[in-house]
Amino acid sequence: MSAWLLLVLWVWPLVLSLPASRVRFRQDWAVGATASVAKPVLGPRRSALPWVALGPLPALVAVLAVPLGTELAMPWLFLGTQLGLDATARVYLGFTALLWLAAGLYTAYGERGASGHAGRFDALFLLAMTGNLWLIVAQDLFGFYAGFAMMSIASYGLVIHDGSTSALRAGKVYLVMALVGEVAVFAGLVLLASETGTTLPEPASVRDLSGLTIALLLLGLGVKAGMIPLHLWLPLAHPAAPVPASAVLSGTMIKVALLGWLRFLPVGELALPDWGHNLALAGLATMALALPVGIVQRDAKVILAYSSVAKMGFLMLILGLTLVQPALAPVGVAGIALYAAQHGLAKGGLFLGVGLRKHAGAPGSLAQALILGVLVFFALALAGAPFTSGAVAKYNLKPVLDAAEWTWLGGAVAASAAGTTLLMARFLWVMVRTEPHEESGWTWPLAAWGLLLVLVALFPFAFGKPASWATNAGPIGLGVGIAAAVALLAATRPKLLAPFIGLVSPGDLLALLAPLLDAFRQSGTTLLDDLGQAWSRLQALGAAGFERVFGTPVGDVERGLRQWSLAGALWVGISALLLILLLASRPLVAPDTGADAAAPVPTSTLLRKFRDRIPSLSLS
Amino acid sequence: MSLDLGPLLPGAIVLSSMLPGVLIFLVDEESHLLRTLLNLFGAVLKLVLVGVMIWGVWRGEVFESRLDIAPGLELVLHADALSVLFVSLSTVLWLITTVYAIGYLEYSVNRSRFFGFFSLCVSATVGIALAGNLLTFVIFYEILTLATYPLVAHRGTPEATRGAKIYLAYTLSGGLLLLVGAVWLRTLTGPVDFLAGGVLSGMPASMHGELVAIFVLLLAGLGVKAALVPLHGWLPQSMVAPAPVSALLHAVAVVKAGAFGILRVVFDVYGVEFAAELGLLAILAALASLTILYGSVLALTQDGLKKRLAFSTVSQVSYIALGASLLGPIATVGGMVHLVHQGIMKITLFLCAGNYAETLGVHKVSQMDGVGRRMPLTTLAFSVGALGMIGIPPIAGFVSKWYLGLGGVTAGQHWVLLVLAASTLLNAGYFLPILYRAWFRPLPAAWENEHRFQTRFETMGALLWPPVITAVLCLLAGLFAAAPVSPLQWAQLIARREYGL
Repeated sequence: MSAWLLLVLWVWPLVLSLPASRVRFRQDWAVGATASVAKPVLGPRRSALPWVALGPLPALVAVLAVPLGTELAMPWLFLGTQLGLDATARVYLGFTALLWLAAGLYTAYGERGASGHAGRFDALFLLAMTGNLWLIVAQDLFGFYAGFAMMSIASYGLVIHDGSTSALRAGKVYLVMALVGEVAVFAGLVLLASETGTTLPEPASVRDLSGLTIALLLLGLGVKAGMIPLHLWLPLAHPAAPVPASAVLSGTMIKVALLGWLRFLPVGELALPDWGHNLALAGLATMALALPVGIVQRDAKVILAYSSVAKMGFLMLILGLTLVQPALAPVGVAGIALYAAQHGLAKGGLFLGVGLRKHAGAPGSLAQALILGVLVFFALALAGAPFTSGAVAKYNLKPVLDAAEWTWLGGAVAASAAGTTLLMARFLWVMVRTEPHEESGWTWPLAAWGLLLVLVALFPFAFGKPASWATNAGPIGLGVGIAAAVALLAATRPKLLAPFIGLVSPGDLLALLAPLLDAFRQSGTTLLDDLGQAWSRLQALGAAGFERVFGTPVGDVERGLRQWSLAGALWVGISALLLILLLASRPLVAPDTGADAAAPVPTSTLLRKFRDRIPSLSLS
Repeated sequence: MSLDLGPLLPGAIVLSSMLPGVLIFLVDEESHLLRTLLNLFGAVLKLVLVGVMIWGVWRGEVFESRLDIAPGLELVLHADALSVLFVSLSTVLWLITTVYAIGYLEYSVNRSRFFGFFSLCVSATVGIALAGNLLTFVIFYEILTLATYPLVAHRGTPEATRGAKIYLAYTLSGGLLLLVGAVWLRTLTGPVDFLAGGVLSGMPASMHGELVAIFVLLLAGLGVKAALVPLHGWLPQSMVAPAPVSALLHAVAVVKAGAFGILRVVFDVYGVEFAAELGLLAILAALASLTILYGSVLALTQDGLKKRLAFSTVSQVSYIALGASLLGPIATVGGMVHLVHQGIMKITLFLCAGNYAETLGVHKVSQMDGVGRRMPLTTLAFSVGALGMIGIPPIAGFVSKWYLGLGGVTAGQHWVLLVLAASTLLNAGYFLPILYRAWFRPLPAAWENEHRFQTRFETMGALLWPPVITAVLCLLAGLFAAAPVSPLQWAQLIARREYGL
């Protein structure tokens, strides 16, 4: 019985998207007195219920009520659906549903921009949620891909929601990259299915992947994960999207890439040292770029976006190391899932906090002071300070890091922890200096935020051994020290640091790519235009020739008829000739029952061939 | 079933629309009710008969009607699994299009002429689908050409007449090539009956050259209707036709007849393995890939909504040819199922385009700002069709794309993935901007030519519900692709029979 929850949990938000869209299908034309004044009411309907917040409820129930290992096979659905809940999926489902719930509450009660379009936002929000939940419980690759595509495309609408120029640009970059990633994933999955012969991939059944398949899957999902240099959309999309959308983008959606890799790559089954090292290096490069670039940003949400990129880099590093040494898989996989969960919750808290800092409570009020305090807590948790969720999650991954053959890795990871601390300090600095504009009615968003706070605060005590609580003390202390020094410097000598701020624009490499892309687009447009022009000229030529033969000059009906009759007569004539041939002909090869076939008369070969085919015209 | 329907059913299916069609010509222009009744009677009767036939073919029964028209020339109607696929598609979509056309032409003239030819057109299509030998196929193929011409020219404007003439010039020439090829083939082998697995594989090697030449002729003849580049020129020109006719051309009858013919020639005349041996599949694959990409690139440059859709058809129909050109049952399934999937998706798009034109006077993509707010149901249906064309799961288009890709890789032709990837991105490139405009741009102050119907919904019921229903069909065909009664399962049945699995 509880197995059906696996279906309900993603169909439910899909169904809710209809009422949530608040579209008026009935337009009541006849309301006006006469037809001429009747004007349809196109505004949205009023909505009584917080649909978006109701969406993740079945998923939450499923996390608690569905036993591990439950499977629900529906071979008739889509291309053969198999839903299931394994340990990784349960962790993912848990934090994903919680984050969507918090973001949903924030959306329902806190989101007020572009008020006329709330229905559109809510519907797309629920569709993205549907995709996200579906791909977690889908064990067949079709379900994963369908959910993935649904989530990616619906999110485009979330990114461009406010319709500003920068949002539209961010949306375009996002959509193009997401589509390219999706195409790569599609090709990768086709190859996977062909090479392994299964559509229910799990590490044990995907041992025979070719290099091309692995590369396509790594790159395709790498777009979603923000792997350098495929991360360009992340720092653009996050500031453009409304607060709750950023929260789920960063908190849950980018994490599905890891889930995909855990399913489609032979993690723990097969040592893939080359691919593993490449992925680990890509992760390190991602961290190395994202942290310094993030620190010089102005916008709090861009800083958070870069922090997400860096954290994904860290998880790519872990996954890469696990691919090198399959024996680490049990620790590595569980650790990755737990780390993804704690990062998702903390990052969601930070994003929602940005919105609350901006709007909930007057400047200098107690509420704002509390909000800042909670933000500090979330920032510490994200950086992995001792006694926070981040420290516990990292402690669980220590065996993987320690087993790596690279001796310098410990130093690099410590440096990244310090770097993250600096990044979070920079974030808090920007937050403190943000001027709030008070709006009323923030009870529910604050409650949702409180939920995340409680979860993150209890995390170390629920999932960590006491030994794990003090992890990271060194690097974080170092980071805090540097941050304090820099802050002191910035407070006393603001001019000294000012040149660094905004040194690199959000989307870093995109700025380098932009001229190239522009040139490409220019030439593309010119080419297409030329092509179109050449085409229409050709067409005009063709049409003119056609008119000369078949056209009817005005008034000269008879000539037109004549031409048509000529063409028609030709056509009928040729057809008739062919039909006669057909009737009269006798097959050359097919077994002919007629015994009366005349003996061949000696003539020239050509004529004989002709005659054989058309006996009735033969001269005998 | 005590009555043996075997020899009667195929003929009855063709006649079920032909007779009402002929009667409709005699109906007075003002007898709206009588005409509508005749139309719907024919459509529903055909649907019932086709239902009986599906049941029979699935159980392995044989339906065959034979008629000697001259000594040695037999008109054969024969129902096999492939015919049933095409017959069901055109019958279901014909019913939907008829309802739509009744609404669409509510205020138009010459309706009796229109619906008469409309019925003849579908009779010819069904005849093509059921044709049991090449000759019967050619005859119905020509009837289809002639029956469609008055529909394209229906509006009688100079533009419409010109488009129709171009259409006729292209298709008659194509028909002639087909006839030449068919006659030539007959002189070699005698009557060419369609047979699963092909009939030519036993031909001596000395004739292979001729067989290749015949294939090229047949392909050229069929390629005109299937709009293979460079024979596609008529398709965008005939966009002047009324929306239901465009839908018919693109989704139900003409283009599909060409694609279906290619399937027949490859699978049931030459036999796919023999065709591969002759190197014919490579020709077809190259043409199909070229057409897929070329059609999509040109679609990018079009601002006219129907023109953009027309070039999209050029591109999408070649998925069917691509499926036929790859050796192996999986790709075959992809091509066959796309016959249906492309049909339901494209008809949705065209009916929606017709709704925009009739209700708001919107003909161009650049005028589509905010239509999603004014016509939400139509635009939802349009979105389903467009996303399906791109191949977004779980809409039907994804199923075709998956089988084509998997079939290509299984056949060792990895380049298919590149073609599919490029096509996906190009499709996204010309469909997503439309969706963006429709849903995200603000409404204009006034529409081009707004028409207000006295209904509770955005437009007249007869216009609104057909595309909504076909959009639902697109979703169902994808969502329940693995269920026992789906186009995919039927395509797999065909592939099993073609490959003798």
